[in-house]
Amino acid sequence: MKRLITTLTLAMTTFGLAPNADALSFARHPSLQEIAKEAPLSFRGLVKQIRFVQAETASEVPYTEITFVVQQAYAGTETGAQVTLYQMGGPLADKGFVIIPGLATFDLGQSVVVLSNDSLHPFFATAFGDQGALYVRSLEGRSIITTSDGRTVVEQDGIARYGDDRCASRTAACKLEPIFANRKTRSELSPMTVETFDAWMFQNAAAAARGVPAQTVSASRARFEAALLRLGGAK
Amino acid sequence: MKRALLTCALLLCFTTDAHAYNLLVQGIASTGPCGAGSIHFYGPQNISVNTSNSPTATDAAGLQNAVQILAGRVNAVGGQSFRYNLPAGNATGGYGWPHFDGVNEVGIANLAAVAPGLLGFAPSMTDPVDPCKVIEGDVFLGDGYTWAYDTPTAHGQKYYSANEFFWAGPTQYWYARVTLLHELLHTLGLGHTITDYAMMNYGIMPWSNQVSNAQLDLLPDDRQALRAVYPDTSTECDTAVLNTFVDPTTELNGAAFQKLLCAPATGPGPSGSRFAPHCAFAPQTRVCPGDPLYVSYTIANYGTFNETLNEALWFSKNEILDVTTGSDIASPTMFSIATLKGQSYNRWKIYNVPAGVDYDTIYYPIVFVSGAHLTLDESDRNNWTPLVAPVRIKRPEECN
Repeated sequence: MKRLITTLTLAMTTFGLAPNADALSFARHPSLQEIAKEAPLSFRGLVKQIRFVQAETASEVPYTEITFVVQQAYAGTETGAQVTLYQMGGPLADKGFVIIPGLATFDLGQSVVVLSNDSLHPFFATAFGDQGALYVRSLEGRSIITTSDGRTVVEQDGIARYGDDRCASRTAACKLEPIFANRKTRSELSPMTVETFDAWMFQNAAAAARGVPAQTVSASRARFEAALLRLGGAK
Repeated sequence: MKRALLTCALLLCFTTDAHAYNLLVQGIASTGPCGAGSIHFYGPQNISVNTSNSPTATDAAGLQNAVQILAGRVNAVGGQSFRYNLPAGNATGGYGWPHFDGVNEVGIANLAAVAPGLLGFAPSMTDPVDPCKVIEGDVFLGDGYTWAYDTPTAHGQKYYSANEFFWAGPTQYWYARVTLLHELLHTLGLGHTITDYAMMNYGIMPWSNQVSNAQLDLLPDDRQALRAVYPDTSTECDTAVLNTFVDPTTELNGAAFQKLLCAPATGPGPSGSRFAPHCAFAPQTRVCPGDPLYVSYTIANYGTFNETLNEALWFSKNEILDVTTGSDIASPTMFSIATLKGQSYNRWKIYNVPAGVDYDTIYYPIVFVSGAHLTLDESDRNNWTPLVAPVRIKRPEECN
């Protein structure tokens, strides 16, 4: 038996969630390219609405509903569509705020890249927690893609990868010094703009879209709550 | 056993501040009441172990013991004020999911239902009035994994070359203390780091040459973070030699990856990397007296003081350093390093194989660091370690 007991609608207020350092320990550590290729739902968009919801389960785990407006679809959706995703965490009645370190966080109005795989990670809005969330930021007049902790996503030999901190805050190509004295010089790492990242995603997201539903557990609030109920047990 | 040493301040230690740690900016974060501040506990905390989902009584005892030991390691960090109240308690109730009942609980849960491959998970709750204040920090290990709660030594593994896991027959065991400490530090307000060597990274964590209870410990960067979140004026001098380091070339969002260092080799390897699998040896390095030997190791200054250390490489027929009886032989090559408090240093040095070693014999090269104070505290043991693999001295005819 589940019942929605609290809904905090916070659309277009100043209340939101922001990028954080993550904290989930996985046995597998995929690359950005692997996450992108495996994600049945991926897009670049704006955070339109954040709602905190509390499902009544034995564990009383609250969850957050995040609605995006798709500005550029990569897989499983269309440009201009609205997509709603759900993940654990949020205010728990008058007890406090439940945080699930490691999940992606968002601010209202924020421009983000979402790589979602809810058949693999049903309770995370983005695949592998905040590893599946990237952020569009303006720097030196250009829109660049950054990680949750503000490092630029860079391109190396045609592959996008989470940025090296030594390239952070630079839009010009970042040529890294050899890490070790006798190591060969690495190829240049170019911070990715929105345009170059979109182009890279068009190449990599296609595989994930074939024959896989874009959303399963997150297809509706009812489905998500039912899954959450199974996780925590009925009251 | 941590000890404040005035001698350290008088003889060798200076103070500077440098850090790379990240704090866990969480909860309602930048636009909410907690702002961009970090979450943290206020005051000492009880911690309770829920063994209801442990598969056997041995596992339950192992979990209880591991939590107790790790909480003690957190308490022992010098220069920080946070304390767990010990002994750890027992959480009641047979459940495998956070209750958010105000109890800082460590237990086993069905994390595969949350996400396949999820080893550890640290859901927490902050205060409704003060969102920066953690009022509950839980840690759960996945019940889909077989956990080893003790040390590599207890399972016939070498502490200086242990991986994240090991195989015993068909069973893959994961070292629980590694994940437990990582997640406990999250509940204390620490985030991952991409720029330094820390327990807050992923990958292979180092086991030092220490007694069992101290063999896995917080690394310098973790200690710096705790000192920033929970400052106090106590001090610590302790330096370790370790066999892993952070690989800055790995790509993860928010956390770097740590790896075992290369075994000693006669060259730097084709790629120049210090990490497996790019090491220049296969399967065992063979050398002659006088040959240069490339060795990689990490020096970790756990303390609150800077200190200058001497580095030496000894050749031993076993894994135990003996600098007094003449059985072990020191390389004629020596180095020194001025270490900063709370910093780690990956060293890749070329030492010459000493004369006097026996031909056609296996030797364990052992890195030994010494300083004015190191025999006085914990460092009298973790200041030396064998490298990740021994070397063989060639036959005389091969060396002439």
